[in-house]
Amino acid sequence: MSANVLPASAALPYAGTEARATYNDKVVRQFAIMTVVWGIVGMAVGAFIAAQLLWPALNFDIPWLTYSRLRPLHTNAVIFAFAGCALFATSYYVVQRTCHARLFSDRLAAFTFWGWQVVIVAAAITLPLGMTQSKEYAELEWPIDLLIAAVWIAYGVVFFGTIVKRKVKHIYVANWFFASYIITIAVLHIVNNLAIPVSPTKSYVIYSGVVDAMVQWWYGHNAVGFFLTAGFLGMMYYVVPKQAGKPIYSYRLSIVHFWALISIYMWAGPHHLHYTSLPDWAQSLGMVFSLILLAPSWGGMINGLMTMSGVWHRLRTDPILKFLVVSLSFYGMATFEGPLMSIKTVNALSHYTDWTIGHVHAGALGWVAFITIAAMYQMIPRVFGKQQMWSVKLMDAHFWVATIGIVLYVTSMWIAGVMQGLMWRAVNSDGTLTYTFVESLKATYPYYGIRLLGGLMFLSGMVIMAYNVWRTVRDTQPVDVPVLAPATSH
Amino acid sequence: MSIELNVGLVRGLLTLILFLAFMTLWAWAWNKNRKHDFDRMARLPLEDHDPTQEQPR
Repeated sequence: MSANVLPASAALPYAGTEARATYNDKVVRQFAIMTVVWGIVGMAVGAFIAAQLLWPALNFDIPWLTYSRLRPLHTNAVIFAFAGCALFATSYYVVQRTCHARLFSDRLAAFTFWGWQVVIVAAAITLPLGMTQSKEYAELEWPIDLLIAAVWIAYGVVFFGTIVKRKVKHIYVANWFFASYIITIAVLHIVNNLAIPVSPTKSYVIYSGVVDAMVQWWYGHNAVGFFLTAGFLGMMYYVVPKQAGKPIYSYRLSIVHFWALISIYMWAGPHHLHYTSLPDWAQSLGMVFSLILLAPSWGGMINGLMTMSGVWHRLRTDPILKFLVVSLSFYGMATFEGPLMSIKTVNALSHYTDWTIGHVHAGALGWVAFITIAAMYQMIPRVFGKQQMWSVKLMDAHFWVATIGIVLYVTSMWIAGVMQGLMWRAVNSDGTLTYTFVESLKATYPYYGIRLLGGLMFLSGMVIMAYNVWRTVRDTQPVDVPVLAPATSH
Repeated sequence: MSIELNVGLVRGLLTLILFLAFMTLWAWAWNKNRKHDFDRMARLPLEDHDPTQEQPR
């Protein structure tokens, strides 16, 4: 990707002393393209294992293709490869634009890109081979964990180094969210993966029993809270105002809900361990903090949606805005559903059923993937020197096929989950169970079909996106955009 | 009546401290003197003039 420096027009107020300085958009371009690539890979694996639930013979009796090995590959690919690349791309883009400074170090930034791709490829090889720590969302073995830690620390140095270099006095709120996500993920990853290696491919975590469970879900829930929420709120606080063409609805609300969100999320993990051997008081604590989380979560949703009020008429013509509205709506729905499901009596019905899977995908497809898609459609033309995506019609088609896909996915899993919960707890008058497990599985069968259809629709939306992105970038000579001098009021 | 220092009292005080911290944050954010700064900060994403988004002349 050779880059030309865009001639700085005399009329434009580029930074005086840094007249030749440009933004480092190369690493943004790399991560943006890989976001689309890994999105397709991760979601294709998801669709494949959804099909295995319908037709178990699809594992062809090959150990590498069994559900148990491909499911962690799916979750790692969509969370850390797809969503991770999207967070790298947008945080690098946003921190440069809102700080009016080039990234702190080009070499370290390049290391984060290549290091992260090696992590992803290593995961794609080791997980099907069955190498695992058996910790959900932290399955990767210790050598890969070490590389993740190295990449993440380099990421922190690049991000905070750029904040230090900033030309404006203030740190924009999106950067606060990105900063909290980078720091917290470093802490979570290192603490949860402390392990004693016994061979290059096998280690044992240092925790045992209920302590291990609590550390694991402190990690697991904050991976949701900081990786999939705070990071994407950072994305939202840039993409939404930019697309709406007006400042965020309430800046003070963004500050209050930021501090409330990050201090409360930390304590919600125990709701993953209701009715286990975790002490009862800890379960109740997790439930109460989960309920309180509704407030700061909806603070973010309201702030985003209200920013778009006044530009509703553009929904007719602007697919990016459509993605953003649906994304924030799903964020609101998922963060209402989450506290609901954390209530012990509700959890007694919902836990271990497909309701949980429906809830996760409302958040993952509806919120995380949709805000990512909107951010990519906004950012990719800009970093490749184009005015907009190649085809607005294809963006529109992507929106509709993906939205209908999510609705099919989530509703089928809701129905399946509640049904499973009710069947499992039903007892006859003599106290025996009314249904065998396999009867509930048989009843779930049609819903697995609808879920597969929804997932395939979402996946085909990503394929449409990939084609559109390819047509947008294939004949470009990426330009290096000069660093802009901050407005004088700063 | 003497106040006994026990875990219940510590928990109560901690709750009170956290509540006061939250109210202080709220008051700080809604202070009228901050409005000017916040308005300028809110404009940061809109002020990155992007040459790729110029209309062709």
